[in-house]
Amino acid sequence: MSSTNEPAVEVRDLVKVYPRPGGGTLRALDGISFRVENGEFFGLLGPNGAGKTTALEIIEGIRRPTSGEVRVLGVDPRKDLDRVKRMIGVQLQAASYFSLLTIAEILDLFGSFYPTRRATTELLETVGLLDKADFYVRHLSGGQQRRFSVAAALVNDPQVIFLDEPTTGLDPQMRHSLWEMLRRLNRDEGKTIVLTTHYMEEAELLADRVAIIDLGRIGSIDTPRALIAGLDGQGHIEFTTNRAVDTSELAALDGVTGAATRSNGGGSSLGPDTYQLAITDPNVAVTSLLSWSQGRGIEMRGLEVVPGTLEDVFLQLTGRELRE
Amino acid sequence: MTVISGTLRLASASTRQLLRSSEAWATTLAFPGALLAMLWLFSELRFEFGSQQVALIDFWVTGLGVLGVALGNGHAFLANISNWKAGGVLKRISLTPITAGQLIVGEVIPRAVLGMITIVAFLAVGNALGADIRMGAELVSVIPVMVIVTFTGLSVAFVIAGITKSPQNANAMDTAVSWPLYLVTGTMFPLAAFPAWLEQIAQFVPYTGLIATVRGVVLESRPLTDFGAELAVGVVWMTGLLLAAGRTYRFVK
Repeated sequence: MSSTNEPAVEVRDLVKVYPRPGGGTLRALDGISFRVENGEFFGLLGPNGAGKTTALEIIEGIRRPTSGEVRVLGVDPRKDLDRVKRMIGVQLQAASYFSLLTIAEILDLFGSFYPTRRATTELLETVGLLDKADFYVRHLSGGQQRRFSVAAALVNDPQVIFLDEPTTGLDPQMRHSLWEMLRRLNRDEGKTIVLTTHYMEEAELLADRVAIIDLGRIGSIDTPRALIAGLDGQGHIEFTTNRAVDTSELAALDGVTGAATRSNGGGSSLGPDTYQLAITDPNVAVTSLLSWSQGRGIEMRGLEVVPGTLEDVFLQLTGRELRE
Repeated sequence: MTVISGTLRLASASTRQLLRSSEAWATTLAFPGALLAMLWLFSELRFEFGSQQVALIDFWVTGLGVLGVALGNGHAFLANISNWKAGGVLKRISLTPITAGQLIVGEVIPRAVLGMITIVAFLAVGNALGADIRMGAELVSVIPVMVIVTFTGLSVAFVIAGITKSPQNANAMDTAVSWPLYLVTGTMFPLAAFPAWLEQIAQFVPYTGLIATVRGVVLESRPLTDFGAELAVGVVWMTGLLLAAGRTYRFVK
């Protein structure tokens, strides 16, 4: 095993260019650099097609970069891939397993490929699937399959775990249960975790630091709190009204930098539209908004001050919404 | 983990999956059984070449037995491994220290054993249905020939799975490769019936010499040493295709 003085992952100027069918090229990664320390929970946050999976697969050694440098615990995957494979655990975004082996048999088989391994029963207990040991993967629910994928990533007791969108497609209950499990692995077992996601709440809740990635470039890297604190504004205010109002009036209020409206549909009990005000100071903005509504006899409902989120950070960095 | 122990673990897991696979049982028992039942209907038919008279059932049981094992095993295997590639099983294995070569050997070993069992059973049932198959030491001599046959067939499957992008394309290519083999390997008709130029070319097609060898051994009790050239062509094809399999069914993109 490598010295723990080395960072868990170090990526420098990574570029990946794919040929496009029909001619031309696609620059999936455009010179990204970042570093993940040992024991850190690191998130790569970006929309689909941002380059997250490509970056992860290059780091894991199953895809070759066009240029740039990668080190995993000080080892270059291009020079010593076998060593890297022994030190890492990987949960792929879409992985299948042998269809006619039970999940316990698959873990036994995968574990046998490594010099050090964790016991199958311990792994199944960790991910809450001990009672499903004799099931085939296809007989597990979506959430259980994701948990099993995490168990398979842990068979060699890796120092660094890569998780590619582990909760995509899961219902909220399963997502929270998987988050709790990942927190335990990081906090209690000291595993370094690198996770890609397009759920901003996932990155915000789990990651010590987050890299915002879009169109193959990293916009910013910091703790979620620092990224949000660095926003130009302070989140936004949301409310509905009993009648339509002019957004230009709202945008002109003190403490407000912009106003937008979103239709709630004709039958909504909330009113016809929801208004969103980008704000610089919540106290000033709320005071001026209340004064404005009283002066015009407008009834506001569901008034809410929403603090800044990574969604706002992404919007500010890229000019696009995370879910576009 | 040594290379050998990892490969053996894969072979053991592959065997377990084979035994649980209804498709594998169908390939091994049901399809050859149905084929033999049909051949039995022609058990009285004979055809003549020059002064030689050949019983159709002898010719077809041996020819179809060998080619059927190679291609039947290959079809089932190809479906499996092209689905692995498309479905992400291969990608997941590529993240472990297992190499593509170990995976290939680990998968081929149980299939090769299955091929041996199938051919011996096929010849034995053919004998019971009236084919003039020698069932003594000749069957032991057939085993090394069938090792070459099955490794060749499975290597072809790996190459096709490696160069095609989907299971559908793999199946289409497999069909395109397989059908001409029934004609040009002397499986259905003696090579002597071909035009001279085609007969010459057919000698160098992968399974031709191996089918001739099995026929010579089980129908005429000739020793393997009589078939040095045929076996050499078979070994060259097997080696070349195994190497090609390792190069085309790759892990890293």
